[in-house]
Amino acid sequence: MKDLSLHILDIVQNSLHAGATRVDISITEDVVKNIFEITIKDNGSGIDPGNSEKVTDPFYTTGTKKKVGLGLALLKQNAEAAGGFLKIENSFPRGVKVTARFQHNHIDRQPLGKIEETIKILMTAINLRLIYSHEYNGKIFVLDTLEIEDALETKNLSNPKIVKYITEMIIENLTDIGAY
Amino acid sequence: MGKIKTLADLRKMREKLKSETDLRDKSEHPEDMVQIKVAMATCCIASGSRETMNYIVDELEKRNVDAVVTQTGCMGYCYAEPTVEVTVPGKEPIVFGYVDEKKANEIIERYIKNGELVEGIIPMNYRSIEETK
Repeated sequence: MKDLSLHILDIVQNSLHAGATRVDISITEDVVKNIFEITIKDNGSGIDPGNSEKVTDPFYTTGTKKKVGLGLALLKQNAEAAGGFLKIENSFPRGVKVTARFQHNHIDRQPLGKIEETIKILMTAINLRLIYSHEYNGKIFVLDTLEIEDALETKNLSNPKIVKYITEMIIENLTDIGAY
Repeated sequence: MGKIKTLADLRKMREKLKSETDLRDKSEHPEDMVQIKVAMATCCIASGSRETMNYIVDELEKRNVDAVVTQTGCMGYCYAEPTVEVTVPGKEPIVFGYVDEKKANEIIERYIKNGELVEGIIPMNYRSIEETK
């Protein structure tokens, strides 16, 4: 993965695969405490308790098309390379919370990348409430697809024109709080 | 027009959006439309499927092609990522491999719009004449 926004897209695919209807993506940046933290919390089916130790093993997967499962393994590697860690809290059968912590100023911490492109893709997922919050040095921006559905009085947010407005909204707000 | 920044700005745009866009739920009759599935697993994302998918969505809108674009899991062709499955109504689904923006452009212009076959097909749905009898 070239950047962290691609990792986020990848990890949320696990949530979608587990049938999640709500996914909370939170990014917390604290330059003073030197923290860059990503948490992804879903209400999917969770990880079978017997397998919860194996999910970061690159040769463990629940998929059937190939014999490797690299998503969490790669994120763990990148978090540890940047002086951080990966933590997985499994509340089987009621969802999973994945936390990836990095040192903000670590030379090997990947850049965030185009997070709005990731959100754009995730908005095409059917029946998914996505809550994306981004905190930068105490200033916070929250995007909730349910609030947007209510504001626009439509359930179909995957319309390209709507997606364009939301992308613009994300960039404007992230620039405002200083994260972009 | 000012920049969209808050929910209140979006609310203001609501009427305009309603009049100029077709807000009906496309997923109700997907079989009448071109369906495009972009594989979005670890292997695909690492090879650039996010860019491919966003390019396809933007270009279809610009070129007025009515289509449903969705994401799907790994199809098992990790060597040929990004992979895209295109189903034109009345035709068999076709999987294309190595779909970068240039290839995506070719698929939209030549396969979807003109019905010509383009190179780069992964023969996953291949059936011989005997089998189709």
